[in-house]
Amino acid sequence: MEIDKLISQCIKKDRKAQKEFYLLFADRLMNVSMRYCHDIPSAKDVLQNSFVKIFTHLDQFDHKRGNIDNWTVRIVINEALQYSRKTKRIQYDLEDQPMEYDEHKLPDVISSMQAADLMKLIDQLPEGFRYVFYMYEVEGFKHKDIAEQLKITESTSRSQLTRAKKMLRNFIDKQKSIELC
Amino acid sequence: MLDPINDKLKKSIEQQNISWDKEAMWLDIEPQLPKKSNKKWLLLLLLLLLIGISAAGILIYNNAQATINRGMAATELEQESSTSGTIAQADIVSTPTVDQSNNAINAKYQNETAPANTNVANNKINSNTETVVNKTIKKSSAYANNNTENNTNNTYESASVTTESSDQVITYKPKASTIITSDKEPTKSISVGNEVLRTINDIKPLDKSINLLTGNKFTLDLAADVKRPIKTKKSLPGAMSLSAGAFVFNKKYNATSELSADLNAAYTPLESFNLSLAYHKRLSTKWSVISGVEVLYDVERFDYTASSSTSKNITVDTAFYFIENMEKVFVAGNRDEVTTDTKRVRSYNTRLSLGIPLYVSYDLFARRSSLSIVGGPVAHITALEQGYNVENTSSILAINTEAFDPSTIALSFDVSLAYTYKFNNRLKLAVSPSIRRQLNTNVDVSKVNYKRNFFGLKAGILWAI
Repeated sequence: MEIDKLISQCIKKDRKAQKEFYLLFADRLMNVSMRYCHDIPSAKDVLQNSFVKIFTHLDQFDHKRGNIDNWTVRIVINEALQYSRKTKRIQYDLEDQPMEYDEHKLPDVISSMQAADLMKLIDQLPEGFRYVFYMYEVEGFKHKDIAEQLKITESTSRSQLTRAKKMLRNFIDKQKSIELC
Repeated sequence: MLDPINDKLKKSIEQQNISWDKEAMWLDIEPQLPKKSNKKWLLLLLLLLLIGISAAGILIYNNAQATINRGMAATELEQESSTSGTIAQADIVSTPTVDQSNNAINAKYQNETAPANTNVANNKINSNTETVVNKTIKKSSAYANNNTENNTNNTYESASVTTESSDQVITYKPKASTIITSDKEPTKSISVGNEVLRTINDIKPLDKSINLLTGNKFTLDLAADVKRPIKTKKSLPGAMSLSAGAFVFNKKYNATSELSADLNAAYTPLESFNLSLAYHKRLSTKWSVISGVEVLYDVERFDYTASSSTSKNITVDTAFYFIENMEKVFVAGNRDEVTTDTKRVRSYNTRLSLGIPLYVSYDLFARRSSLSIVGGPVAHITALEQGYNVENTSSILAINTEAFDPSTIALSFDVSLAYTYKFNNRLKLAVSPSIRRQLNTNVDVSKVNYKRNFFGLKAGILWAI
């Protein structure tokens, strides 16, 4: 079934179509949820709430303004953000003062890392850094979109990303030195 | 410059495999999803039901009315005073004619749809005697209007058409129409073949309001509905309503053989004017109970033909009859001449009664519209009853209209389907077809096939304060 037809069926509250839609997006959105949550139970909670919102507000989806993938990812991220706020996990201020961009480039070693290893390192980043890093580097959002979603300024988003990368490089350097020892 | 992670790594992050039970989560999600609403279908179904009931009622009404008209028209043939069963033929015009002022030309009118307001040169009129008359006929505007409006229906108005020329007047009558006229009141009919096209009823109704109701199959009920919220202990709103309206119930009586000699046809639309004061107690957002008092003024109409016979002894110079051996014998002497006079009579019964309804209402709301199923018993206590006979001639048979009185204490069960459109918080438009089943009656059912089921259609404008 074409995605547009599937969406229109879901809007009509066709349970069969809704399940098909769910199965189509569940894995991808679970990955998204996992990136923003610390554990699987939290990710599941976020995903469950996200799907309820997706199906409830699917009629508001405007395919002219974006594709369904981005729309659903935004909902999951937003839900994860709310979840984090509820559980008070965000322990830093997203409205941190913007800093100048420096030359903190990610080391070349990152290219040879496995995804799981990299994610373990990213998980060690503060919540806010992690959000910006994932949203920019993995989800492909622009700083404008990130700022809108996280309710911060664009410059803050940029500085958070720079700091995240700097911190990530430190983690990698630290890990390399441990390995050398 | 920021250094993005490479696509391969991004892809591997995106596609990271996490094992989890998708089906279990779906079972958690599904109950939280909004259910598919069937209200629209239900509303549509009820709306279709409403239309169906209305259509059925109109059909029943029309069929019954057509039957009466045919019966009346047939009776007109017998309405002429007859001697020994012979029907006078003088007034029956069966041959269409064209009359000229000086020369009577019997012609067949062959061009009923001739264009109006035009000069037709060398118009050929084929007469019975094969005469061709070359005349320029200027059709009058009166004919034009008449013909335009009525040529398809071939009604009474177009039966006779006058055209003018410079030196003669020609009267056309439609081809193949048999025009039956009667000098006697109250009824004139026009028919083609056996089909009665129109019956003109000269019986005057009681008043204009009754004429309005009997002349229209739909009755507009201008109802005033005053609702005042009343605070209740359970904080569910109650309301008082004052409503006034008029509606029509079609009630049909079929006379049995015992009465058929006098009563050839009887059909009674029951028109009811009501004024009611009711208390609406809302039990929930959808259910409410309605009770109160209704003052009803009902009008029952009876149409029937009544026959009277007068016999007088006259002296006949000659009479002839057949004897057994088929030999004609002429005799002279006294004999009885029986004159039968059949008249059409319309009678009204009016009734003032007090009704106490106890309705239960189930309401469905959809934006500005709502559909309500209202039903319940109504007890009627008749307080005042009167009967009227309306006829144009004095030679009317007196038939006791009270013979058809319904119960003085009647119990009926009403079910109605009300569609209401809300224009604003005060103004509403409502249409409500109703079915009433009379549970008891004092009518002598051995003489009259009394119909217990009524059909009504009520439409109204509601104004809430």
